Amino acid sequence: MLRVENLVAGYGRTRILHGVSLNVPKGGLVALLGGNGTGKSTTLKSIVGLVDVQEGQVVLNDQVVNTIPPEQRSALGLSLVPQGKEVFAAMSVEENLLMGAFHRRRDRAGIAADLEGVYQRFKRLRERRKVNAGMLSGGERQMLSIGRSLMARPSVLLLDEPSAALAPRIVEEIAEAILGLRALGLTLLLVEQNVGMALDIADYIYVIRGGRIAYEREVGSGIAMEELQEFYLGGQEH
Amino acid sequence: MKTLLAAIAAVALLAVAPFGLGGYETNVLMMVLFFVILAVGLDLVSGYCGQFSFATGAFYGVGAYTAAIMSRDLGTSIWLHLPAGAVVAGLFGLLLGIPALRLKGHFLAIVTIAFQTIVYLVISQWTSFTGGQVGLTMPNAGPVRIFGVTLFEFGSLRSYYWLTLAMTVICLIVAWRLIHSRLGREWVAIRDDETLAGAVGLDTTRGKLTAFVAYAALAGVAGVLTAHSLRGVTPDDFTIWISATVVAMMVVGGRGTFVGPIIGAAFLATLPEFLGKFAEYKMLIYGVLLVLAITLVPEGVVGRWRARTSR
Repeated sequence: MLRVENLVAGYGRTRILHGVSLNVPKGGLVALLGGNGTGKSTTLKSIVGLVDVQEGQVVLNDQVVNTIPPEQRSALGLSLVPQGKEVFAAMSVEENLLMGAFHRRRDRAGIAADLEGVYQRFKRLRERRKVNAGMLSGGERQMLSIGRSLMARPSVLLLDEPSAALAPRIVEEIAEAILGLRALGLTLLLVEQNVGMALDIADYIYVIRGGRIAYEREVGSGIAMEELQEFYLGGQEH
Repeated sequence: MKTLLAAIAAVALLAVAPFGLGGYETNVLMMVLFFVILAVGLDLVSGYCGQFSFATGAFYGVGAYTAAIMSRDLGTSIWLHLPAGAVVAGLFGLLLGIPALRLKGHFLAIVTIAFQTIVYLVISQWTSFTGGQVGLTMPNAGPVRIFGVTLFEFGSLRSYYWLTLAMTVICLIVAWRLIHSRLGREWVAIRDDETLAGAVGLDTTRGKLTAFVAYAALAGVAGVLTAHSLRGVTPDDFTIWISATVVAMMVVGGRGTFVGPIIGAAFLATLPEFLGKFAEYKMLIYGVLLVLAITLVPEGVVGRWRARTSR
């Protein structure tokens, strides 16, 4: 469904990705793991077009999309939940959700239905619909951020470290919400530092290091934790 | 509903005001209206879209000189100058919007100051085209005729006042519609968090450019009205002091509140009238008010009042 082929990307002359290839099958939940500054976020940003692709390509449903302007990619079904639980702080919760449906201007009934769907999924957002998003807790912001992405009716959802800086109990809640999205039929690419959470919910993992894929394995095929940690933490012997 | 009634009452009061006022006061009121258009225009780009601009005076001047030069070279009337001033100033706005795509905060502010300076230098130095320091004079706007019947003779101060009032109302309606349109939502999203706006799939390029164009076009309309009302243009009416004054009006009133800049413009534009012999220090007073507002009530008078009442 979503394929990334030999992606080389970065900011200006600085290259961060040196040929990253990934494959996310339809309905799959794939996790991209790695430490700080390894190129995880850059990979997601270049998929949606916030970072320029210098070489290689991003293919969505057999269509090359890295030549399409970012605002049109969301119409094709790509949606990013950015890192840092970002919300429009001066807007209410509901206004934030509606921003997610910005490109579906004619579809009023559909937007209302999806809004209801998001409120069903994240009950706390309904209670706080009129509240300014800047007043929300970290967990609520993450839910709002995911909800806003859902409002764009994506087929592929890209999540950038949804568990970062959240209490363990909230991380569990977010993990459950992600599994719920998968049950909905969404294709998910998850970037994480939280290896435990990723192994709990993903069915395939990639480990990125220094802008290259260093390791990939199907979850449940006997991933040796020591081996994974070595790649993750940067063992040099291999 | 209450707000709408209040607005209609205010406009009605302003419409009959010249009957109860002398020529001088009517003139002051007309200046207030010019500043209302300028401040509400600046609020679109700064208050709603979050992009600094110290170039209001430049767009104001571009509108005014468009009218004066068209009048001199083509002999056209104000009815053509109004849309032409908006379009020409809007194009200059687009030009200034381009650096805004890459620059943020202080850096953008500096570029707008440079732009303001360049426009001022061109209108004050290109004597053969703009009349230089002396400026240009303009003939009367001429009569308003429908089917050969003269409805209205432009010439009296009142006639210009009423035209300005009508155009102010139109400008405010346009600004209001823009703010409450999809485009307006896009502006606010860009102001709140530009990176996120991009991530959500908004076209931030289009958002910023349209905000600059709308702002410049409104200033252009104010410029055309000013040129006709004053029967001429001089470069010193379109300096960076005007830009700074309009910034103070917007900030003191309240950025991104719509009503705030209107109140700010009314307050600061009439203030010198109450200062008597201290009126020559008005820029100093505006500066102090601006500093006080930014440190004590950064959300402006109207912004603070709204925060109070919504609790």
